Amino acid sequence: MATTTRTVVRTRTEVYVGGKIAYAMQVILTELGLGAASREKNWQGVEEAMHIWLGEGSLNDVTLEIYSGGDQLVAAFEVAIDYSAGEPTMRHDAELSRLAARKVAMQTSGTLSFRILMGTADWRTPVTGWTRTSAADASGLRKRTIGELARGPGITSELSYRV
Amino acid sequence: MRRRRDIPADPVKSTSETVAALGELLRGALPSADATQISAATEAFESFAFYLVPGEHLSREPATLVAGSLACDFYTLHGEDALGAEEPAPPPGAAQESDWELFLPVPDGAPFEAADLEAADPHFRPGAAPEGAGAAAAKEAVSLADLVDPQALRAAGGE
Repeated sequence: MATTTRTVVRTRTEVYVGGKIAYAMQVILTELGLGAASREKNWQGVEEAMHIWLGEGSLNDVTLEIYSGGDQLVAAFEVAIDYSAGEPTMRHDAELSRLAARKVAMQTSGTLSFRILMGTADWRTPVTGWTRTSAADASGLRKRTIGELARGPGITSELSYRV
Repeated sequence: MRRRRDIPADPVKSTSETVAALGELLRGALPSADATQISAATEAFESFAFYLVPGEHLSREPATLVAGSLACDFYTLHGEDALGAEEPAPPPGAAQESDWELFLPVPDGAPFEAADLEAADPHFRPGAAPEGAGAAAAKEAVSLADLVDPQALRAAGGE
């Protein structure tokens, strides 16, 4: 009897897109002069949470909040997630995040700090190290959409910023 | 002898898994080296890898192991290039070596500098490995096993 073999590779889009989002955050922080603080961040924890929540479809958005003087929100970078895209290709454009950061850098000053928030559905799988919190009020900041940050089969992400 | 290995990274592997794969290749390439030093270097590399790997910097500028007569460029594969790519075998040529260096790129705009790499592990060297790395330290006598690259043979055989 003839036999055949078939190799099945799971694309793991969440690994691809999640990594690119985490990388974009590091690019932004470095452009804002927060490279040293970025190095101290637990990016493994950020990636792992995104892999889980992107994989199960519970992640709605990722937000990088930038504070001046410790408590004043001066900018926010937002990555919106869309699970409806059907295009099979994988691609990313990290330069978009660098461009956005440079625009924000021209309008921010002082001692900056940051935090990363992930907006999820209530039914998300709990991930160690991540607790519920509220986003800062960004209604006083003007939103500008930059464009598609990363995509893979079933997941696209779009970057915007508020300043 | 300059060799090359391509490591499938995202989406096949997360950044942590890619770092672990590089660590396995280093251990396989350097069986005579201190395993705890390789583990420590692999762990130290991880803090830089979360920038270098998903940013695909290592697909353009490799991490290069230099040990005796061996210089091996480790590149990463991403996206469609990573899907279906074979896991590379450890490079031969440094089975007797206990001293080694790992050259790592410091891309423009990175959140770390050359000094950060140098401070992270005594085996790290910032930037590209010299063009003649490995060859300059070639031994007069090498074993056949050190000369034969199983991966190159498989590729030549069409596997």
